[in-house]
Amino acid sequence: MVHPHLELENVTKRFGAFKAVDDVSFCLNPGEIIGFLGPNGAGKSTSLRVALGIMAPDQGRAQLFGESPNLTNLRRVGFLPEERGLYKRMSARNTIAYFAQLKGMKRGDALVRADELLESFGLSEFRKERISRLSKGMAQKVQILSTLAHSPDILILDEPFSGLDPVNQADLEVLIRKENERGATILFSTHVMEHAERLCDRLVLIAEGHKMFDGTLQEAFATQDQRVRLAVPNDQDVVSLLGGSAFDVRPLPEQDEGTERNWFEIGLPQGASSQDVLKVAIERGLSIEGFDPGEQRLRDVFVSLVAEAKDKFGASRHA
Amino acid sequence: MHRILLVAKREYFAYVSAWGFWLGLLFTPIVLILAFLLPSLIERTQPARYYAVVEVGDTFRNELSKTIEERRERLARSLIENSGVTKEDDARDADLEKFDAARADGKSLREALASVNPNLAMALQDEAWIEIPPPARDIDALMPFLSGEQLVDGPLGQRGLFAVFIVSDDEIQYWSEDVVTPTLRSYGSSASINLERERVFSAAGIPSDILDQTREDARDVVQRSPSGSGQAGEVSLADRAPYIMAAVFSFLLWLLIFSVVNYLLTGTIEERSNKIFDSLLTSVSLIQLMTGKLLGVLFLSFTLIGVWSLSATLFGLLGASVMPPEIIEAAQAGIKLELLVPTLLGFIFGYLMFGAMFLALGSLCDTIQEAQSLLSPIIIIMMIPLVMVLVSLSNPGSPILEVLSWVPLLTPFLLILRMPEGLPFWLIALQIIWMAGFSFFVLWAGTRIYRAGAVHGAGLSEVNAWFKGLVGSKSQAS
Repeated sequence: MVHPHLELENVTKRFGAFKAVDDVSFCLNPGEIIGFLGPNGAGKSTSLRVALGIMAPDQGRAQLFGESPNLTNLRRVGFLPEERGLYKRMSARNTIAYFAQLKGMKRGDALVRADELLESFGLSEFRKERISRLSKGMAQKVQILSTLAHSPDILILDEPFSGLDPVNQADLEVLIRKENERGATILFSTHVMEHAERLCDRLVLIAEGHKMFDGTLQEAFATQDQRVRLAVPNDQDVVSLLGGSAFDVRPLPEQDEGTERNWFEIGLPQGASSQDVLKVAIERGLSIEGFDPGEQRLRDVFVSLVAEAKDKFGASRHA
Repeated sequence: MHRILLVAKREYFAYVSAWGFWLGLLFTPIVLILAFLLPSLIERTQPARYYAVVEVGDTFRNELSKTIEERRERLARSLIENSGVTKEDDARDADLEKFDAARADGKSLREALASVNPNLAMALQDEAWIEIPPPARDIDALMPFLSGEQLVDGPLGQRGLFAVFIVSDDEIQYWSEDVVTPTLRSYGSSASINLERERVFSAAGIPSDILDQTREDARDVVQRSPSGSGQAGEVSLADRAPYIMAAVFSFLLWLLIFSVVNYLLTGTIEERSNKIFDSLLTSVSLIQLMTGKLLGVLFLSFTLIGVWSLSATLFGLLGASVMPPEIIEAAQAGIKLELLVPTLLGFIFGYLMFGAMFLALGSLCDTIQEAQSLLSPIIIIMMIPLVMVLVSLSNPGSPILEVLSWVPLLTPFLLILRMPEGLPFWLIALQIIWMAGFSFFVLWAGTRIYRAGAVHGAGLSEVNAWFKGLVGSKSQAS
């Protein structure tokens, strides 16, 4: 039987009266890249710390490779915590090698691996520099390299993109893909949706300590009504021409002053696409003068689900 | 075990590679040696001072010179008496006779001491007070000399006039710009008393040397003890040496423990403030992390012990020829297995107790400033052994020392101080077991606090809330 690499089952974690995580369940299957999304304070880091056995849940359980997290199965995990830092007086090379050794690598192998990683990330000239002398971005790169030096089966990266400039963010996206191609299962938390859109097979969204969504990007879009905008000559009656279709049509205030066309907003039913609107409009003889497919963004899904969580659970979280 | 050693190794090399560690390591013995030698160094480096006596005749002047000379003579004799800790009394008496014979031959004090032992001659300080003729007879004229505006001629060249005695029938005035140093003034008082005594005795028809005679004829009070190592239980410096060595060991243990546990505090604060805990805790367990840190700094303390022992050995070997022999003999007589074993156990358990406390405190603080507020009560406790070291030298059987030695945080230091008292074995064993048991309790409590700080991010606000809760619940209960 193939176990999920990581699994949280009905996990609840309280800090005093504050419920940081409430009945959260999700799993990380082999080979996946999962985006673990949520606003600040949603409970993402707490969930990850519970998943890795750093702290015990009040209820529920965490499983790594089918068993409770322990130092043996944690050897197969690379973890980049959200609040990160390194020993300031250690060199970049020794830092990577030290964390690799703690994960079970021999010192010689760990040093060779550290050199390789520093070389491939353009940091070889800083290998003997103390962490305190590196820029913040470089130090963060060193920490990311420390996380993956032992070639873990799971990479858990808590807000890996924060603090990196756009160039380094792009480099990190490439690195995540490479690690996934190597066979690593990856979970990263972020509140920057663009990274999740580009990288993830699946998304888990958590807000107010509750899991609000678990599925693919398309499934995330499907949770929201999609709307397109259509412009036609003002002598055409869109409402009656599209009447009887599955679309919800409503006129928009005049936008293009001095032209002889009107804009309409058309709500799509579940499963329909913007292409379907165009197809029906042409079939029914509408002269299309303007079209905005209203491309859905994960950001909108995120904002909507976070707002929903706040309404539902915001008040009870501090009880 | 491998992970513990990795953490320990990192801790060790992190500190041992820092220049501050080596600076402290080398600086501490230097400071200790200086502190030890400072009083005698100050005395020795004090230049000889000129003084003058203004009087009609020279009665007081002669008596003062005699008093100063007698004090110096007594000092020379005490050097001989204290020089052989382990020497038989007969050998010491022979040395004194040799010294007296040399003096009788007209040799100077230094020459007479050299005839006994050249090292003793070196130990005798130079003449500190040199009398010169008064440069003026009244105080107004003497003022420029006393204030240093004018110098006076003397056997050591031109110098300032340190003091003047102005002798009249009803009083002796002692004038000096230095209002602190009492030595010469006290010599003057002694000389004055001697003169008055002579006058009274003479009026009563008693020979003036009767006092010296009675002093010589009086029976010696010989200190003996059931455990005295001299003939018939006579007490010598060899018997006092264990008390001195116990005080030295207790102080060194205190110095060692508080030198190294500070590293645990600063290291843990670094891990907390730099957010390293989460990275570490997915690779090592909390217990492994704590154990590794304690081990690493323990190795560091072994380095300290090693270097200090090496320094002491080298210092002993190189300085043996110039060091007062009584110090070497006292050290030989005082360092015994029954002192070393409690010192070793005291170090282990003391280190564990204070190490766990400092680790726990460090895990609650982001800065050293935060830690200082929590450290205050511990620092007060830390000061007690230092006070008790001084108490033990004057009153080793003090009931306060006995009671405080049962306070487990103080036991490592105070048990050592009580060892020369010849405690029964069961009592020593009981104190060690009590100390060990408490060490494990502190380790257990320290681990819980460390977990709260390292894993749950508890900090000063939580500590304050805990104290408020404690005070609140107590006031509610009352």
